[in-house]
This record gives sequence, structure tokens and C-alpha cells, in this order.
Amino acid sequence: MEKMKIKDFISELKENLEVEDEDQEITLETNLKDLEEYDSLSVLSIIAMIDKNFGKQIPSSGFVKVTTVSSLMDLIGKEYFQ
Amino acid sequence: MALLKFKKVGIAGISACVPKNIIKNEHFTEIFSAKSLKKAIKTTGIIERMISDKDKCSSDYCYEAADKLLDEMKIDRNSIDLLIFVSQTPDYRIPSTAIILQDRLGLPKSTAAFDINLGCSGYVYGLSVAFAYSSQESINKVLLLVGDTVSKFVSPKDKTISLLFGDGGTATLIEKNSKFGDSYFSLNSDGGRSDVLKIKAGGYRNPSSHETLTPKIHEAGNIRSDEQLFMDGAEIFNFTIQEVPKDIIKLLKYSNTKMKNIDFIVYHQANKFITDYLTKKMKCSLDKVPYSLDKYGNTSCASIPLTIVSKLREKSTNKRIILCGFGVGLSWATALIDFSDVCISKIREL
Repeated sequence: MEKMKIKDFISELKENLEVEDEDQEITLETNLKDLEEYDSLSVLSIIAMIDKNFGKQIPSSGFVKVTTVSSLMDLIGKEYFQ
Repeated sequence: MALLKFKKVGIAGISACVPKNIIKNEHFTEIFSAKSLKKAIKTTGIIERMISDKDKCSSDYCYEAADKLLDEMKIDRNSIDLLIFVSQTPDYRIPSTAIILQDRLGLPKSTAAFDINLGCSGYVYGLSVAFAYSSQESINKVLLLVGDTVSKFVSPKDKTISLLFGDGGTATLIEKNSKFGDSYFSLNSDGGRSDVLKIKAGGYRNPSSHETLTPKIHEAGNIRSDEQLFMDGAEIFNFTIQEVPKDIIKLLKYSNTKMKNIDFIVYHQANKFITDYLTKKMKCSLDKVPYSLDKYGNTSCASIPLTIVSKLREKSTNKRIILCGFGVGLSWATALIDFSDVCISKIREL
């Protein structure tokens, strides 16, 4: 499977989270739990996104520990990104 | 491996009965912000649900559905050989509700009757049992009653589930008849993930007490008691992605059928986001997937027959239909049924 570009991952993540504020920048350091839009339904979107792009499932216990976008990428596995 | 094939047995009639009380999800503004409520309704697809009266049980909706179906199809009640009741909300702990229904419906004492305790996968499992018995020489007609009143064990203050569930009961008549083609079933279970959807107390493992009945504050401020449903939505989605497409493909292979020759896939009505995703993952058209959850929510084991009754009433004749139930247990089951001439009754309210 081809490695995903970090900027593409962040862009797709922002779309899945349905972040309304266009000026809201999402970076590696953004804490997802600080985003108003991040809830249990966002987790479903992210699970679908991870399955579609990487063909893997992350246990819900993993999502409990997620803080920043970088920590989400660590959970998926940094080897999947370029 | 529970892969089953049946010949000359099929579904002759289906009916459903739902409560009259409509609960609209847009009114849940006490525990949801307007924005998150709008998102929840859009993602799950559930706009409203029917909720039973306090004095009604699953068996009442099943009784109503069965009584009307038998009359409509002019079935001699003395010809019913077996009654199966599938539910996780029985009338009593004992005796089986099926036996009470045998009497309520005026069936003869020679009718066999028993309950099956399954939820989301319950209709397909129940159908497989009905088909199996119908393959016996002496069994010609089986009445499968499938229903739940999940609203009775859901905390309205638990955001993970308060918008999802509705109530209802259904009746399916299964018959032995040479007009029916071949049917196939795949049945599966994973008790290792039983914690993912559970009522923790009130059974015999963790008996009822003042403590188990007391609501507690859990993650993200969700409030529920140990005798109300707990659901790990993320883990359930993981499970459906891992297992459901695989099971459908397994059954298609077993039956030597191609997806393009399937007319409809009727999923357990859990969450539109989940089942749309599974459909796209299998590269199947969403046009083949009817939904009833917008109006009825997740009615547990009744959701598949309720979808057939509400959405396929004039569309099922001579169609090859996949039925796929998955969830609590964890338990999942897929069936491929030839719907030849099925009497689908108009939906009733009680």
C-alpha cells in the first residue's frame, strides 16, 4: 500500500470531522479533543477513513488515548505516512 | 462451520406492528447541542422512532402482527406446527414467552414453542431454525415472531444510544412448499467481544441490587445504571468492518451467486453511516439497500423484517434478497433467500 502524504491525511481528517470554521487550522499539534466537532460520531468517520486508506482497524481503547493529530498517526503507525 | 442450505422451504408471509408513540430525535435538546444533534441525525439516519407504552411488551406487538397475518392469509391455526419467539425483552424470566403466545394466538397444544434470546442477529438466526424444522417431514408451517422493546432498557441520558432505538414486533410464516427455491445461511459468534454491547447486571452473573439500579455517571458525562444498555460504538463499527462483508462474500461463494444477481441487501438497521460504508466497501450499489431506520430507528431483532414490510411490500416478488443481522453477542448471520410469492402485510400500529 502506498504511503499517504501527511498533508492529504490532515485534509481528509478535517473533511471527515466536518470542521465548520474554514479558518480553523488543523496541524500535527492540534488536540482533537479540543475541537468542538470531535465526538463519538467523529470517531466512526475516522475509523472508516483509516480502514479505507490503510486497511486496518484501531481498537476503541486506542481512541481513548488519542490527543493530537500526531498521536492519531502514531496509533495508525508512522510507517504508513510519507 | 454453520453454513446451511435448504430446499423447498420458504417465507410465505411477513407482517409487522409498531407502537403509535413517535419520538422525534430533534427534540433531544436537553443532552445534545443543536449542532451535535443535527450531526447525529444526519450520520445515523435516524429521524424518529416509535416507542412502546409502559404497559406493552414485545410479545404484544408480535401477537398483533401474527394475529392479523394469520387472518389475512386465511391460515388454519391448527396447522401451525411450531412457534418461535425471538427477543431480548421477554414477558417474564420464566416461562418462555413463545408458550404464552401459543395460547394467546389460539394454536393447538401440539404446537412446539420456545424462545431464542438474540438481538440484532435474531431474525436471521430465527429464520434458520424455522427453515431447519420445516425441513422435517411432519413440520409444514412455522410461525416466527421477532420483536423487542429496547426503549425499556436504554438510558435517555446516555448520548451514545439515546437517539438510536425503537420498538416493534413482527411475524413471519415459514412453509414447506415446492415453489420455493434454495436458501442459504451463515451463522457466526464471538463471545470474546461480548462486553461491547451489554446490560451488565440483572441476570445471575451480577444480580439486581439497589446499587445496580442506581444511575452512574460514565465517560463523557453519559448517565446509565448497570441494568441499562452499554454500547461501545467504535468497537462495534470495527467488528462490522471486519466481519460483515466477509460473511456476505462467504455466503455468496457458498451459494454460487454473484453480487450483481442480488436484488436487495436488507441489513440490521443499526446506523446508516455504518451500513452505507459496508455497501461501498463491497462495491455494491446503495440502490440495493432499503432503509427503515429513518422512521423506526434500530428495532433490534425486528429491524430486518420491519424493513421488508415497510420498504419492500410491493418490490419483493421473485427477488433474491440478502438478509444480514449483526451485533449483540457478538453474533452475526447472513441469509440468501428467494422471495417468491410472499404475502407482505400492511404495517400495523398498536
